Amino acid sequence: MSPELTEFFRLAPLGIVVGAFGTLIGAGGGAVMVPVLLALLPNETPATVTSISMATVFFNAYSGTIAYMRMGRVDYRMGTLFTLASLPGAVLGVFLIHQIPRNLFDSLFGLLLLTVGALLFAHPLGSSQSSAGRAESMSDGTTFLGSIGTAYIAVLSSLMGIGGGIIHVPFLIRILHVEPHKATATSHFVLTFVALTATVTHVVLGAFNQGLAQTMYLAVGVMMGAPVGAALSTRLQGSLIVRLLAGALCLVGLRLLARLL
Amino acid sequence: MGTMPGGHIALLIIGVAIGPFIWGSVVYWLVAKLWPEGRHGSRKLRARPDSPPPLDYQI
Repeated sequence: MSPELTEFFRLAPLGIVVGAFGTLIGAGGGAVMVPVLLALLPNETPATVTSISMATVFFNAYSGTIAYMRMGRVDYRMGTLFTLASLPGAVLGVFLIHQIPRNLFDSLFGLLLLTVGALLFAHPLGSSQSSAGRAESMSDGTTFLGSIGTAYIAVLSSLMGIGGGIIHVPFLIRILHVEPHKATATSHFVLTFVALTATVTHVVLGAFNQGLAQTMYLAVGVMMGAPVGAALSTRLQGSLIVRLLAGALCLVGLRLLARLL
Repeated sequence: MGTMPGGHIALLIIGVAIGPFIWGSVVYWLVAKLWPEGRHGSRKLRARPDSPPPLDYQI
């Protein structure tokens, strides 16, 4: 078997899992993708790893956004505001990742996973508890906070290569009190442009050259996995899925940190 | 990797620290001016009748 085919059979199944899981939980899948890429590509730079992840997240977010737009769940005003606020941060994050050595990236990513995992484990989001009392539209102060918060989240997302849904959606729901179904759809909309901007920046800076083939293999899997995730989402118990994900994130975070000790 | 001079890295870090705040404020002001709340569907978000119900757990 040729090395390309071997690589395809190694990465496409991963793409299926990431695509299914990303769609299942309503995030882009980058938080699942990056730890696996770090394990599969131990000698690659953080820039290469995050460039592969962001490009794959783009494919996943794009297909999810189209579906959400057809359902009429995207708030275009909020989405446009947050997208415009995010774009420079997406570029800045990519510039920053080119300056970070692999060891530092692994430890920062481990810390991020532990934090997000612990928060999700403690407070899995649910519309039944969080929809009550939500206003139809955000106040000016909340929109302002959202614009600035989203700009910072874009830097972090682009820097860590995770796209950002896993941080942005809880931010929209918990801090800005956006309805969960609107938050997920609008975050996907923003995520599409953030991932695209970060990927283009990676291409311009040359980091993507080494990851083009891997990205294509993963993208094939992601596009096969996304419908599987959508189908599973109607059958599985939600809070259990989020708690399982949170536990997995904590374990991977601990593993990354332990490896550096 | 790591080829930037120290001064440039310092500028990058300062940019990351205050840039999003300034840019987020500017964009908020622009959108508030050009696209006031309530126009073009910003408050008229409605799911199509045939769309499935929202999931109760998405993150």
